[in-house]
Amino acid sequence: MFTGWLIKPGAPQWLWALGVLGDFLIFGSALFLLLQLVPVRYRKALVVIITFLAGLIYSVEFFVPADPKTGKNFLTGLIEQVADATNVVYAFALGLGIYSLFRFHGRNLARKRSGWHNSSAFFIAFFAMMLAGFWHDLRPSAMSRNTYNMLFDGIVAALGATMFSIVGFFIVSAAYRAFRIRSAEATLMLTAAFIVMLGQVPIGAYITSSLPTAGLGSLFKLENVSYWILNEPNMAAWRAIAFGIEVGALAMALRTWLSLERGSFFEREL
Amino acid sequence: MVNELFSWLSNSHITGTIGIWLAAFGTLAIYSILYKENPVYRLAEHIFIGAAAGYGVYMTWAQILKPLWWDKITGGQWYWVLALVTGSMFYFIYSQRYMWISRIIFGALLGLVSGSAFKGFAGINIDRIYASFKPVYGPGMGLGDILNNAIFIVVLLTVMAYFFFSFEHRSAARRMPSSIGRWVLMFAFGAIFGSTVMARMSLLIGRIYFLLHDWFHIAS
Amino acid sequence: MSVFEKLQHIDRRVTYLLLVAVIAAPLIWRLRLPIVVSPAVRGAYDAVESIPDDKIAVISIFWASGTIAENQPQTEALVRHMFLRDKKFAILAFDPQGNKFSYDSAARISKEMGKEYGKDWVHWGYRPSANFVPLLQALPHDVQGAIGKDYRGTPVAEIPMMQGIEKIDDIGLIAEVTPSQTLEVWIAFIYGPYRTPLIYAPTAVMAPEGFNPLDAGQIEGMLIGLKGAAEYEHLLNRQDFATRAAGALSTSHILIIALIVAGNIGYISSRRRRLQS
Repeated sequence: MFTGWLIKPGAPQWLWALGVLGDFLIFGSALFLLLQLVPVRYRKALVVIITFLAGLIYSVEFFVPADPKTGKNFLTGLIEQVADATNVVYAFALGLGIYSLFRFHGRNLARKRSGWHNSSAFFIAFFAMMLAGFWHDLRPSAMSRNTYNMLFDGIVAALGATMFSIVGFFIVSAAYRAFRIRSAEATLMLTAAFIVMLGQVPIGAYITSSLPTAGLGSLFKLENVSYWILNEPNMAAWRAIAFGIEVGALAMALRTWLSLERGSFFEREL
Repeated sequence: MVNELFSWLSNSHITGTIGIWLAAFGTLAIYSILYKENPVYRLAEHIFIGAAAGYGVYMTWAQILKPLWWDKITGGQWYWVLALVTGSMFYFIYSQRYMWISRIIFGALLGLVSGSAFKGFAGINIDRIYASFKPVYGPGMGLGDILNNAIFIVVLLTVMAYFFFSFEHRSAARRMPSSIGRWVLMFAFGAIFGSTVMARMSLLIGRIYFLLHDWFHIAS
Repeated sequence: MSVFEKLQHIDRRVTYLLLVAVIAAPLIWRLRLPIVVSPAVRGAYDAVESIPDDKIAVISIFWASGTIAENQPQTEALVRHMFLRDKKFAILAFDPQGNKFSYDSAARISKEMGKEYGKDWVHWGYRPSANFVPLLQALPHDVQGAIGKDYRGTPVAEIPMMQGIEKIDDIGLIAEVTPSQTLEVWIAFIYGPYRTPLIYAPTAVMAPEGFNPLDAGQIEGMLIGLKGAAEYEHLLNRQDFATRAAGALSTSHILIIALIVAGNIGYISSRRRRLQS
């Protein structure tokens, strides 16, 4: 419509924005009205069919043999277009999270609930960081670049790293309080933990540095014992666990693809 | 006049220093929760969430929507407007009456990923199943290899036995392997705990290093 | 309550202060301890050394500010190694924060080592992590089409080092630097069908799971958290942040072990007293 025929490449950005909005309203309304024509009793079936057809793309592409010369089959080209499209569609989904945050903090602010000043700090930080980024993009200069970096490094990077680092304190406190040798299994667990903790850091290598680097004695070097624990019994246990998880994941994927899964999303009346 | 007021923003040394002080105060504000719950921590938390969300919005536009969608439309590929129509279907989740429209797009994306499960399963597991058939004895194998492979087989089978719930663990023949599996799992969980401790300490060391080196300038 | 029993009731704030002290001390007064390179890290190093000259490497970034202390040193060590050996590489980020961190790190190191963007390295930009599977399905058949534009908005087809990089066979190594279980997707859709070499740089918490694909030969090597980065730096004859942090890692681990032992001494003591009474 507008963007296809009326507006040509080279037109100003604001005109393109209006054109996209116009096309969105036209196509969006058309799709919306078309979907309203679907009888209520067929809506679930429509969702099931679309889910199935979407999954058919990848599963058929996997099972149909590829042409030995090109390495592709008749669906491989479609897969590339699907990746391009889903890149953009997933990006639009970001708005869901942003809308939820805005709704929550907006209500706090509007109703002056307890902690409303925190919600105002949320909005200030949100717009400051976003606008700094767009300023840096649209009008690049030393000023915009420095502001963008200052806010990113000073707030986003620093506070994000700090949030996760707090767990370090909690793990020390929790390990000190909870790790008790109440049973033989707990003692075994603690022994493995101590060996791996010491063996994975340089002090472990230092403690057993007097042992030879080759031969039978080297087997008792802490870093070697720790590596053996991770590479042998731990690896075998993880392989067993992973087999179970993978089979379960395949079954779950199959049930989801065929809409056989139960749960509020799947069973709720449309 | 506005330019003069904000001219210091052009000086990367000044803005860099401000950034470090912002980061340092923010770090200490977050760490104040270790003493007890307080308003300074809450404020810092909200500022972080806001800034991270704002950054996410900017980055999504700058790195995905503009180069891979907007530039295509303004370059003549008008049909990319339909991606906006499709993407807007997500937002019907907020409407009680039209929520089912959002289920179409969610279903499509779920179906897409679920359909790739066969390829994924084959790609991940065929090599691992093959690698699990380790020889207990063979030419050129030393005592260490024999012991390691034997331990691998015992651990693999007993842990799988532990998680096999299709039959009840009644008989001793059924209970013993899963009992050994439980012991082995305890050993493995201890090793996992050891690794987890290292991970968490690393993150903490990163922050303390920042405070000492970048802020106080006393770390080497 | 005896002295031993009191050992299990140390105030948590005292433990926090002790932790800060044992971490700060080796950062201020350098604690030099031997770095022993593990076979997993050696495997990763050798894999980078073996990248054919006519192929590029891809460094996949999934990390954000939360795990920057572990994943950034790993990323920088890999970038430095590739620059040192003139291996061309591309960075692809699936996290918006990691996108900027990885670009800034690579740009800083490239300036330090006299390398040029577009000729020696390229950053493919940020893609949503939700699109990870569809992107990996499309990448093997048309690398340039799947990526589109780079971090700076330039079509990748116009970038000098991307000339001739069209299919998965033109990629010689993929390094996954991540705090989560994303390696499985690379193995499922890239290593499984196409046998492209992979190396794994997880945070230490994910490392135990990484030994599974390592044993199966699905990855060539692994950098285990910050210690893995320190070992890699040792192989590069460098002493960057990871090496400096290794001393603090050691002292913090000793403290945790000491506290657990103290707690258990207190526990055994109080249990004995309860049994006697």
